Amino acid sequence: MHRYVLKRIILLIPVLLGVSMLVYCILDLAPGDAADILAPDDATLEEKEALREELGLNRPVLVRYFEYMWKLLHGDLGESYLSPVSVWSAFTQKAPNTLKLGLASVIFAVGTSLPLGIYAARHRGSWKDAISMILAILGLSMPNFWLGLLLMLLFALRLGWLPSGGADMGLRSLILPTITIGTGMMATLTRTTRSSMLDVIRQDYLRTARAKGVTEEVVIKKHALKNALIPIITIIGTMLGGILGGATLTESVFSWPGVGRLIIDSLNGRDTPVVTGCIIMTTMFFSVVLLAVDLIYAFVDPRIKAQYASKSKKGGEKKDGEKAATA
Amino acid sequence: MKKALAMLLCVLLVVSLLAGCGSKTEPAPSTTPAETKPAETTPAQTTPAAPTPAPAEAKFKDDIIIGIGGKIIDIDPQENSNTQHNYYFRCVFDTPLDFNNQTSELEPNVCTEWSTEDGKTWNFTLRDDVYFHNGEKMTANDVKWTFERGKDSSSSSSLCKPMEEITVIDDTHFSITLASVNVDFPYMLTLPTASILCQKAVEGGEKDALGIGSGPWVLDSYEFGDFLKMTRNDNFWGEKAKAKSLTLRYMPEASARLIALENGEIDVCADPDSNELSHVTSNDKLELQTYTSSSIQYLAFNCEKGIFTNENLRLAMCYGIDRDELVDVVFNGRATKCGSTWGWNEYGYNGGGITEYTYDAEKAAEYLAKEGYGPNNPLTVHCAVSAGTRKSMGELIQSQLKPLGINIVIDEYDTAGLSTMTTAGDHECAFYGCGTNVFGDDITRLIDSNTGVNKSHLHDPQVHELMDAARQELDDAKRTQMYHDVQQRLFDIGAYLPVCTAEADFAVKKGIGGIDYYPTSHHDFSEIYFAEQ
Repeated sequence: MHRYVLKRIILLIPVLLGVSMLVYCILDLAPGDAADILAPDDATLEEKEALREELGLNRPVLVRYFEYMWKLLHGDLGESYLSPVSVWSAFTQKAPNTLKLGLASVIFAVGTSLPLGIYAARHRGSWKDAISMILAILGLSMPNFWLGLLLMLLFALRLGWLPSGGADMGLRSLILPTITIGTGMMATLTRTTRSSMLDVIRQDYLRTARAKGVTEEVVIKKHALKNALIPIITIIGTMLGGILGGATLTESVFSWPGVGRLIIDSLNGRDTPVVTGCIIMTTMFFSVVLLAVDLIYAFVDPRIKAQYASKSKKGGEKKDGEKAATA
Repeated sequence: MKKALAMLLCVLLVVSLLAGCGSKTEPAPSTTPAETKPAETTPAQTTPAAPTPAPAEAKFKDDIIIGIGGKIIDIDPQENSNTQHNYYFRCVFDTPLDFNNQTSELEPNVCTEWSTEDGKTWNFTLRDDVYFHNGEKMTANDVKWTFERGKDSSSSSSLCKPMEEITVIDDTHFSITLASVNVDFPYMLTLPTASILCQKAVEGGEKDALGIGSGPWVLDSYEFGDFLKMTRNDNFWGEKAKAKSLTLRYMPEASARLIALENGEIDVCADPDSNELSHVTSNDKLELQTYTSSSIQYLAFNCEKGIFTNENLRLAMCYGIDRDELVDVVFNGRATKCGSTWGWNEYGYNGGGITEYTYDAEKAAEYLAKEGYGPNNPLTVHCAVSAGTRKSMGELIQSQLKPLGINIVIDEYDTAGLSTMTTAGDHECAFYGCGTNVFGDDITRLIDSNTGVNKSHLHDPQVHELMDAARQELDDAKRTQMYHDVQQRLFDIGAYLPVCTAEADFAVKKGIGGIDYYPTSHHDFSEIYFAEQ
């Protein structure tokens, strides 16, 4: 298990290198740079060029990239081109808001989709199943910004129950953006839960359990759900991993001061260090969450735990064999 | 089963309709183009309305929140000069002089007197009762230090670099000698880039020292890209603000910003979406405050390389484009056609006094034919645009010019991309915009071969000669004539097709007043108030 974790962590290095290089190069290919944004209207061409030189934008992209990575190796995510703050400080200022919103959305999605998916699976082929799936498809098809605006119009403007945006009204500020993001997640998760449950419900051991007189509730909760959890956990893990990247459109619509909005604003301002820094942090978070999900599999499914155990055992035996051969 | 499905779909439809359509009250007559068209005045006569004075007996609300569409990412007035930053700079900092939008005259601010004999050396007298927010008294040394610091800054360098020498005579007197004569210099001292910083605070490393000014509002707290809060300066040397706190909140989506206003979460909504103004006019708790922007929307032809080095082709475009239709269709009639490549608010403006382009398809065809182009041998033109109105203008001229034999290919960029590629001269023509300040020399940005805003890459010796002479001319009449000649010359050579200056709006709660709307859009909120209704 430890070797597996170590291997995954080592694998993270080429992933981060690849992602950061892609981001850096794509941003460089895009027309425009931060000097254009920073320079005032009346700046002369020389002043713009001087600014470009000051920011180091006149050097080749690979030189800038390797300098950036060198700094990163020393724990420095760099400085924003546009704002007098470090990337780390800009990121850490926004990350808690995004995490809060992301977690709330995942909780909302899990809380609604599991019962809905199970319900649909139990009533497969009936109108109840159809309604559940229509809801899921609706959630998946509605663009976030559109749903966000509709919710805002209804709950903020018409009913006046909730604020339309911002993050300064505590839980009340969180509700509408959570539902907006969570609805999309809920749709995917409901469908996965349904299909995963359908796979399990047909298994012989559940028929046996029912034949033995176990109540339907216990059959579903204790036997079926537990065995259907692996694909569901994978989806939840992917969702959790993605939350730090933020839901850019939703954050913009709800004026939510999070990482997604920071990335979009920085992209518009060609603030390469901020965009790269945020994406590196997001990638790391994503990878770590996915690793954690892989490890959780072992706890949920004893068969996977057994696989880990047998692998390490084989590894140990192999080592012993090698040692014996050497001796 | 089918019944249940049908019912569910009906419920969803009704909920969507309820949420998405209409408003609580019967919509008032919408702002149709005809109703919102500017009055039949020449643009030069359109001066902004004076800020409504605060009613004497009213009760004022303590906290005012303004929803803005751009984010604030710096507190240093010498490092940023865009619209949203200037909202904050005008509230927190003082500039040496002030400009009266209604009279177009200079007014004293922290400097009570100013004079020059030759337009090169300027003498100033500073008030002796101005204190920074940290309690330090403002002296001439602060002014000198600020302007010297500005020479190496992003935004203030063009103001400060020409200052050859700044001499402090005593605490309240100083003089500035420029490298060359510039009669517009005092006007430049009214801009937020001339904000005076506190030397001791910055050099002493005080917290947020670059946000310490002497203006009517004190910087309280901020989070870049989210909000900036200011509190009233009770020690302000001038008239104190009516509210206790003023917050600028970044809300990027125009629709969401307007909903926040309607919902009472903010008090002022900057730049609401022009398609949603009826939500404001139909709401008896809100009102629309409108001003005419001085930002010229223009089509710039690249005179340096490519097809538009040919003057005939430029003029063919200028005469072949129906600007009235652009104003009516793209701006819903809420814009004024430009009479000159000069801001209507700008010294020396001669809109209506020069021979300008009138839509004339025949004339355009003649210019095209001179170069061998026409419907049978069409000319292909790449037009660079950014999203929104500029793209819409591109699409409209596409249809206008096609019958003449000009095929417009629209190349869309984001704002930063459009700026860079037009500065680099990689375009054939581009829709762009430029806000103009009040002083005549400000237009130099558009026509000086050395600036990044010269999107036509114009190098016209006659224009340069006239502009250089005007900058140094102390005689008003002669100077004005020079500016008129420049405007005529610009029309004759067709480097730019100035399209229009648009109407711009602020949606506010009823009772909000005191906003000094600048045609440049860099408004002054320092005297804003919210009188309870």
